[in-house]
Amino acid sequence: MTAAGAMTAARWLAVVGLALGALGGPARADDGTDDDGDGAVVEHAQLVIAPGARPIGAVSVDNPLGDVTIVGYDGDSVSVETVKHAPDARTLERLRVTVVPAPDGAVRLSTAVLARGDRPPVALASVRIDVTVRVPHAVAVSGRVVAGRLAVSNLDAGAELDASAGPISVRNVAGAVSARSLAGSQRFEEVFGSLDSHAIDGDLAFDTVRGARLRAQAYAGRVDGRRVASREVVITTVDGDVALEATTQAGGRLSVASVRGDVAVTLAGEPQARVRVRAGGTLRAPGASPGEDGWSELGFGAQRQAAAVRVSSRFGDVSFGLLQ
Amino acid sequence: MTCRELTELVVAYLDGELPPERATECRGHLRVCAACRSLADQHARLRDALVELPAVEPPPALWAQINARLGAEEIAASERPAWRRALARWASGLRPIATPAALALSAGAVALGVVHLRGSSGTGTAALTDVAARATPAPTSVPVEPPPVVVAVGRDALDEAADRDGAADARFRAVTADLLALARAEAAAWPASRAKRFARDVERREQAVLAAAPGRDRERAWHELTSFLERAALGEQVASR
Repeated sequence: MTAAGAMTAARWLAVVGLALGALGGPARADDGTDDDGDGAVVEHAQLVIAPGARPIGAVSVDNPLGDVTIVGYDGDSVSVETVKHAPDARTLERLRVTVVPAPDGAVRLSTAVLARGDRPPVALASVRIDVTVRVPHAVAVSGRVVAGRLAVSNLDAGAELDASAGPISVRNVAGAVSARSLAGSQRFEEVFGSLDSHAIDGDLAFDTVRGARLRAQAYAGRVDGRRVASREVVITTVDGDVALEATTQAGGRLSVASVRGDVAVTLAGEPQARVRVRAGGTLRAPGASPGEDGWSELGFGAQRQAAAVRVSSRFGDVSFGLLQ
Repeated sequence: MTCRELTELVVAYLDGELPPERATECRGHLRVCAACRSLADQHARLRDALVELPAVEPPPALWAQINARLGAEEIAASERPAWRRALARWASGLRPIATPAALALSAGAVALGVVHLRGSSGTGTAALTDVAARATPAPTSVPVEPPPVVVAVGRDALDEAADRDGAADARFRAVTADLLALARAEAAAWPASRAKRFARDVERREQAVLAAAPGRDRERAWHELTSFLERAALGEQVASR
């Protein structure tokens, strides 16, 4: 690190140090009263990270112990609010939040449970840290939860999101968004940019999505889409059903396929599209007449700039139609 | 870290028993040393095979028999002449109190108990390649009937967090096995060169899973692998050039 870099880093750490110094200590829930009779302790803390020599450009939050909420706002600093829950003060000491602002303008926040040492064991379900972060609109964010809720909103530079069992929700975000979850559901509203979503057992829901590309993949989860108008749309499932209402773009592509799930696709507006449909189960598509290869071909509107639409399920039912 | 050090630590590393800084060193070495990666892979396979052994319930009569034998030995000991009891007390200072048979049973109990506990925690890296082969039923008989499984008490939040990672790995493994079968069925109709590239691409992604640290990195690697296989299973031409 250069001397200038070291100075910048020191300034950042000083800011964080001062802010940490201002944090309140543990406080009993409800001003010292035990709200549920088990002596639980709650600690609220706030921290503001002001930009150093460079503006804050990226914020990463990794919280395996609870919820993460990231909200964009009109400002240039990052504010962090944490709420820790523990059964007692000794356990509360084991819950740590680490904030590391880097000289390049990135801020990393992570939480952890410290090793127990000579303390008695504690159940994971009895501790919790919820994190709320307000970031400048233009910051690129990444967030990770395990079983908590991960919510991001009002951002202009995209987001990279990971969850195991917790749900992900994205609202009013521009830029490239990618989200991955094992069992948690994912919901996207008003996303304007390329969107890449992958889930194993979680359901995926899209409402008002536009951009260069939407790729949504679910292994066993269900996919629901409304007002989807990305230029290239690729949706696949293995076991999950798909229900999509979309608007095709001139020269665009829309492909929806499942191995074992049922697929229902409705095109809105006045589509110009070449459509191919195939079903291992029942096919419901007005005017469809399967050829020898099992595919039916349909045409809508002028074909010069027609979008290529392909809808299929290897073993499930397929229905295709136009929104009246 | 040297290869020799890693050899000594690899089992503890796979079981998630190393302190974080030591585990990081192991992971760093595994990233750069193919030989040690192979060694770790072999250990992980062995561990997985042990974990997948079915739980065997001891027959209800086992402990009654053991109790009866112990009781008979105690009665016989109490009925020995005084000089033989004195001799036995003196001899007990020279050899373990337990009879060889009881000692063997105890050793078996400890070994099987540990396997079961590790199976439930599942914190380590698992081998991915040839998932279909691992689906082969494990042997259902063991040479010595085991005692009841020891139940862990006082499990801590960190243990539970490790359990969660292990459960996530298990789910991803099951999904990967299903997707591999679907994708291979698709690949069977591809030209040989493309199928070969596909197999190589899968292997590269499997290695990425093995090399990734538990948590976000490991789950991302799993998503990368399963996403790739899903696309192949749906007939997309995913093989790299």
